This record gives sequence, structure tokens and C-alpha cells, in this order.
Amino acid sequence: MTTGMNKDYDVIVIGGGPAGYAAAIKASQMGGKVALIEKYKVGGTCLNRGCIPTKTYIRNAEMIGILERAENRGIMINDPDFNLDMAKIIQYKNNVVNTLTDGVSGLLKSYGITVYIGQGRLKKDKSVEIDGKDIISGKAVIYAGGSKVSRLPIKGIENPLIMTSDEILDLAEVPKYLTIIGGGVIGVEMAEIFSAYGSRITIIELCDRILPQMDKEISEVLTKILKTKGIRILTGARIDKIKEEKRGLKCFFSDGSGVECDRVLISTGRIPDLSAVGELDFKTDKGRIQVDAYMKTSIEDIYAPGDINGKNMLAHAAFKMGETAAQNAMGENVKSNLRFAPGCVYTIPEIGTVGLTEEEAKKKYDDICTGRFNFIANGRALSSGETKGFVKVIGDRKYGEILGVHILGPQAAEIINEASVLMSSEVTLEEVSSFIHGHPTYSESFMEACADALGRSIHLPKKLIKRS
Amino acid sequence: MAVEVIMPKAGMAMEEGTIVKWYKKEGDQVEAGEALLEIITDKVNMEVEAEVSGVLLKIVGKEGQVLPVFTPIAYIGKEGEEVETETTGKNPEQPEKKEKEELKKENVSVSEKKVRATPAARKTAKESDLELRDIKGSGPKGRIQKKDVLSLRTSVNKMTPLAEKIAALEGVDPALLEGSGYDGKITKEDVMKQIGQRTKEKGKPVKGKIVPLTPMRKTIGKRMSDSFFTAPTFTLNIEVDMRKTKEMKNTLKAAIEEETGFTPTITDILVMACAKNLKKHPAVNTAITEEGLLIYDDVNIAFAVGLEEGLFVPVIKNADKLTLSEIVTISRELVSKAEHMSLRPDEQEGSTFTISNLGMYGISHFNPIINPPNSAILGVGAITDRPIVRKGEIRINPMMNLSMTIDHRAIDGAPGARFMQNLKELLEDPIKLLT
Repeated sequence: MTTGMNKDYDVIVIGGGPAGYAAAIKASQMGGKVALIEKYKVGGTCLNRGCIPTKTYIRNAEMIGILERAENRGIMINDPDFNLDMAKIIQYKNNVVNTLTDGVSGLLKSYGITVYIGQGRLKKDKSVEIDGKDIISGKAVIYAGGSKVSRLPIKGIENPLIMTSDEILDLAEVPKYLTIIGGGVIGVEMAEIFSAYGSRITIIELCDRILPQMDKEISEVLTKILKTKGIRILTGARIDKIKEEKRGLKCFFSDGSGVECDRVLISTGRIPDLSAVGELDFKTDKGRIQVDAYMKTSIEDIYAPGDINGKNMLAHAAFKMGETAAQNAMGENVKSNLRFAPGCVYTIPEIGTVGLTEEEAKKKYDDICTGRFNFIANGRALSSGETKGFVKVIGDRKYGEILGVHILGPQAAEIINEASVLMSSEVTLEEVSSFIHGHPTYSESFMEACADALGRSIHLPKKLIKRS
Repeated sequence: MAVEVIMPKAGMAMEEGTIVKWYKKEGDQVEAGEALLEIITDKVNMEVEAEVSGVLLKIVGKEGQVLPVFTPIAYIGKEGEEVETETTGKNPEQPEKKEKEELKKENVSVSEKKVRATPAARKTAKESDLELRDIKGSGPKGRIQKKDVLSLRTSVNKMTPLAEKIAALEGVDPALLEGSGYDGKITKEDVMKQIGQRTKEKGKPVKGKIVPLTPMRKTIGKRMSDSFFTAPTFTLNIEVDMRKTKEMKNTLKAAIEEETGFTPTITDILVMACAKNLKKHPAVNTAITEEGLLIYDDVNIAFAVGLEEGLFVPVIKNADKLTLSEIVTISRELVSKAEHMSLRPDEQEGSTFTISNLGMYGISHFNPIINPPNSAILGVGAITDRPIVRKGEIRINPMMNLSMTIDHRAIDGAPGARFMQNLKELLEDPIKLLT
């Protein structure tokens, strides 16, 4: 049944996350007969354990912040105390997650995609075994296995009080002291959430700054903002071991000093989940399945979009890669260009970033220009009391190409889409600064920053030194 | 009625001319004889003068346009007068302007045959799968030119703003680009690929700026390539002892200065010596033509004048019949005209042999490129004091190298060599110029 020309499906998709379900739907739209194998619940990390549940929690943190600031604006709440009902908070989050995963299931069903729930395993002949029982075969396999939390080899890490982002989202009790190891995207988002929920937070980051992959100014300003919220940030610090003591956990640095807390969150990144590799021998690099821009792996007719290839571990990048894989599996010949995939961090305020950082741009281009607009000078931001942050634009002076946009501020994750679209359309700085933006809006700041890069922002004081 | 200004036919061979620059603009009052514009033919730059006085009503020939001779390029008439740009040749009573325009429109839409377009435009349109009637012509009488087709093709092949900007700054012709974006849209990557190909050998694009070629530069380029890639050439070099010629020049200096007001130069004497020598060696005084080898009766010597703006090659006619004083006078006049860009076409035509002297720059010898339709060109090097052996003794004499590039289709080695040998004799003993 699995050999010869008689294949069960045109495309078999392993993994029901953003890359997998997008690939399955695309292949089906193109007329393919498609099967999808998911070991847990469709929606993947994003819907079940990542983007969506954390955004539900971030909204809670924002609302707490609004309550706390209401008095400043003259909205007097008589009894300012409020409590968190964690069971209800978790339930709300689960409802959101279930609505969305049910939605994805509905989408797959509407396209007539066969969904198998079980652990897939690739066999030598490229057929896929499900839970060691059923074997299905297809003309092409899209292996969108996703990723899992990486656990550093820290002594004592197996202690049940040490959590990953998977467990913390269902934590019934807010820890009094929470230590977060890893100041990346997940680390700072969780710091915001649990700080608002009432935990005293310490972030421990190995690099010299939090969000080390981002533009330096973003890291610097975010550090200041988090510190004013009482979040402790230790950078350039490595935890060697974690020990359970009478009062809770203690994380030890190499010099023997330590941080005490009730709970530890490990947020040191994610690694590809290769549990479905089975009998096949893919070419890999640091545990990532290697693919080209067409999402082709080293094995013919097998594509690997999404986190599993490590190119860009973001859900929206996975959507794009999944679609590309499906198009190619169905006989097209298209590439995924992830250059303008934005990155969003849901701190308060948010971060949105696309393209090159200033440091990267300096290395790649001879003559760059930068523009900056602080939200304190933006009417909407000032009215809303959301004055922290800035928009920074990096351009190539010669051709006016927008090379990078970095926003820390209100609605940054929304505004960044404008930047991303304009950059993908190759619209130049000159043009952006001439587009009419609604007023008052936060996104005016982006236009002003573009104008500032050219030295002609209307809403910034005259430059003392003329930009050459 | 308005009078046409036409692309003149300056010289028998002229078939088309390029408009270099308009000195006047529409609405200007012009006087008969006043220069209206500058044109360039395949040989010369020249000014076109107004034949009548009046108002320059309309300019139809644009700068940079190449137009056949006798094409109307402008109209002069009375203030406010309507210009009849259609050479209908029909009823002298003009139809109303409105009707005329309708007629024009009709002509365009009725059938493609009536659409005016250059052959290049038709070819490009066909290649690009574009309908000629969709294209607005920018040429005279609305004639569609290749560039009109290209610009439409570019607007059909959409470009991103960044791609457009880079292409413009780097001088990349969008018509050459293949769009890789959505629906064939041209992106930065496509433009950069083209630039990368242009500078493939270097890893990084070489920095610099593009200066558009002036019409003169283009003409020089075309003529020199035609010459270089058509004629199989070889160059003969000979060393000449210039002691006696220099002495003669010094002897005659005062007399010639008194007579002409100019100081004679070695080039003047070379013109004279070559002219006399060409008369004796008619095989060198020739041109390859379609009918056969043209052996000239006249000896007309062209000499190269290098200026910032480019290269002029004015001609001293019947140089074999001129005295040295006459040669001095004529050549100074021609140089002065070249410097003032006022050489007439006939002063740059009809050469049978060319001399190019780079000796004043200290050049010892060089391979000149033949100035067509000539069959030979003499390159003159610097005169320097060098030790030579005379009758077993070392002497220090002023020596000069002559290099003659010859079109082997017209002249063989031996006759060329004999010409050079005799030229050397004439210059080493210039009293023989009197024979």
C-alpha cells in the first residue's frame, strides 16, 4: 500500500502549528489531497503555549497598569485593591486558546484535510507511521515539526519548581519571587506579566543586555522601563546551578553568590523538535533541519518549514514558509523571503522591529542615516499617557532605502506592519515622509522618524547641525 | 505664414543630424542670420541660422534628437500666428484647428498603418508586444520613437520606487531589466543584479559617476570605431634628425612672423613636407571607396586639434601648392575657429591625409588611428636631443620619431616605407622642399 505509484495523498504534513496548518490549507487550495499529523492539538506552540496565551496574559497586565494609573487622570477608584483569581485567569486564557484551535480545526475540516492525532515518524521510503500503527504515504512530505523549549545543562534544572514557558502559563499561584533565566523575548514578556500579577522579578541574562538580538537602543530603553517597574535585571551573568533550600530555590552564579526565589522560569530559547525524524537522515546544522529558500531539505520531496529549520522562529514567518513549502510541493517554484518579517515583543510598551539594526546596517552599507521620533512628542501618545519609547528608522543615505525600523512604544507591534509593508514594497524614505497619516495616531511617529532621517521632520526642532 | 526651419544638409554625405542645443526658445524674437541652434553631423558641429526674422513660434526638434536632413525642426512667423505643423500638401485653405485635431485622432485610431513610428520603434513595440496606437509619439509630427516605446514598456513593467530610484541614479536602463517581484515588478534586487553584471569582475561596484556622452563624443567614438574595426592597419616608425629643419625654422622665423603675425611651428613644416611628399607618392594619398581605390589629385592635409570639448580635424586644402607662410596663416585661422567652435563643415571636410602631433606633450611615438576616409595618418613625436652616430662619431642631435599608420587595404608596406624614407630625407635636408 505504501510503495509504487499509488500514494494515499499528494501532501502529508507533519505538525499542526502555523507552518503545518498553513501548508496543509495552501496545498489543499491548490487541489492537493492532504493529510495532517499532529501529536497534541492543532495550532502548535503559537496557539497552545506561545503567542496567543501570553497575549491574553499581557492584556491582563495592561489592564492592571491602567487601573493603577487611573487615579493620575482623575478617575478615582474608591477601593483601589484588587485581587487576581488565577483559576479564572487561566480559564479565560484557555477559552481564547480553544476558540482559536477549534477555528483551525474547522478550517482544516472545511478543506477536507484528513487530520491524524498521534506522533508521526518518517520511514525510509518517506511514508509516515502514526503512533507505530497506521502508515500513510504521499508524493511529498512537509515536515513542520516545530520546536520545543531548550533546557540548558544547569545543575538541579530537573527540580519541579523550575518551569518553562509551557508550565508557567498554567501556574495556579503567583510566585512571590520569580527568577527568569534568559532575557530574550519570552523572558521579558513573562517578566512584564508576572510583575503585573505581583511577583518580584529578577531577570538573569548571559549577554551584556536583554533582547541582545535587537537594536541596542531598544534594549537600553526597555531596561530602564523594566527597572522603573521594580524588575531587577542582571546581565552578563551565568547561572551554574539551582538548589532547593528551605525557603525556596537559590540560583547560584559561578562566583558562589546567588538569587533566592520561589520559582524559576527557564527561557533560554527554543530548539527544533525532531521527534518525527524517524528513519531519515536529514542534513542538519546545530540541530536544525537545513533547508533552502524553497524550503527543500536534503531529501527529495521533503520540505521543512517553520521552527524546525531555525531560520526564523516566529509564527508569521512560519505561515509564509509553510505556504511556500506547499506551493513547491504542489509543483510550483517559489522562494520565501523573510527579510521583512517583523519581530514583535509584547512588553509594556510593545516592541516592533523589522530589518537591520543600526549595528548591522553600519556593517553592510557605506553611508547610513538614522531618524528618531520620541512618543513624548506624539499627540495621541501624550493624550493616552503612553509617552515612553521612540521610533527609530535606519536608511541608506544614497538611495533612500529603509533598512530597519525599531519601535518601542504604544501599538508598536501594529505600527511595525506599516514599516514592513513599505519596506517590502521598496518605498523610499522620501516617499514615506510625504504620505499623509491620520492625526492623532501613534503611527504618525513612524512617518516623522522617516522625515527625521532626511533631516526634515516637521514636528521636531530645527537641527542645530545640518545633516550632510 | 510661418516659415519652417529644417535640419540642413551640410555636405553631400550628410543624411541626418543631431540637435545638440537650442539657443532660442519658443516665443523668442529672432533676426535673420541669427544662430538658432547647434547641430552635429557625423563630421562637424555647426550652427543653424534663422533664414527670416520673426518669432520662433514652435520648436519640434528636441535636443538630442537625430533627424533626417530637411526635417522641419522649428517654425518662425508672426507673433500669435498658428503653426501648421502637418505637411499635408493639400488644400492651402486650412481646416479649423479643432477639425484638424479630430482628423489626427482619427488617423491614429483607424489603422495602425497610419501611425507614424520609426522602424526601431516598430521593431521594439513588436518585440515588447505593445500596440503602436497605445503609444504617444514624441518625435516630429507625433512620430513614435524607440524611446517612447521603451518608456511605455517600463511603465508596463512596474518598478518599486526604490528600484526606480537606484536605476535612475546608476544609469540602468529599466527596459533591460527582468522583474522578479509580484507580477513581474522590478525590484531593487533586479536592478542590483544588472549593476552587478556591469561590474562583475570587481567584487564591489566601482565608484564613479556617469557623464552622458556629448554628441561630439559620440561622433568621435563612432568614427574612430568605424575606422579601427574596418581598416587592417600597420604602423611604420622612423627616426628623423631634425637639426636642419630646426635651423631652417629659426632662420625663417622673423620673416614669417613679419609676414603673417604668427610664429611658424614644426607642424607647419611637417604639413608642407608631407604635402610635397604626397605629391610624389600618390599611392599614400588615397581612399578606399565602394567603387575602388580613389587616388586623389589634390593634397588636402588635415591636422588634429585637441580641445577640452573634443577633437577637431580642420583641413588645409591644396597644401602642396601653399608657401610656408600661407600654411602658417591658414592653420592658425583654423585653430582659432576650432577654439571658438565656429569651424564650417567645409573646413573639416575633404582631407586626403592627416597629421597628429603629440610631441608637445613629450610623447616619443604612438600609433594613431586613421581618420577616415584617409588611408594613412602620420603621428608625430617629441623632438629630443639624443646621441647618434654620424661617420663613426657620437653626436648629440635633436631627434624625432614619426609613426605612420596605414590602411593595408590601400597601401602596402614598401610604398609606405618609401614615403617615410623620403619624408625623412626632406626633413633632414629641408632645402629639398624647394624642389
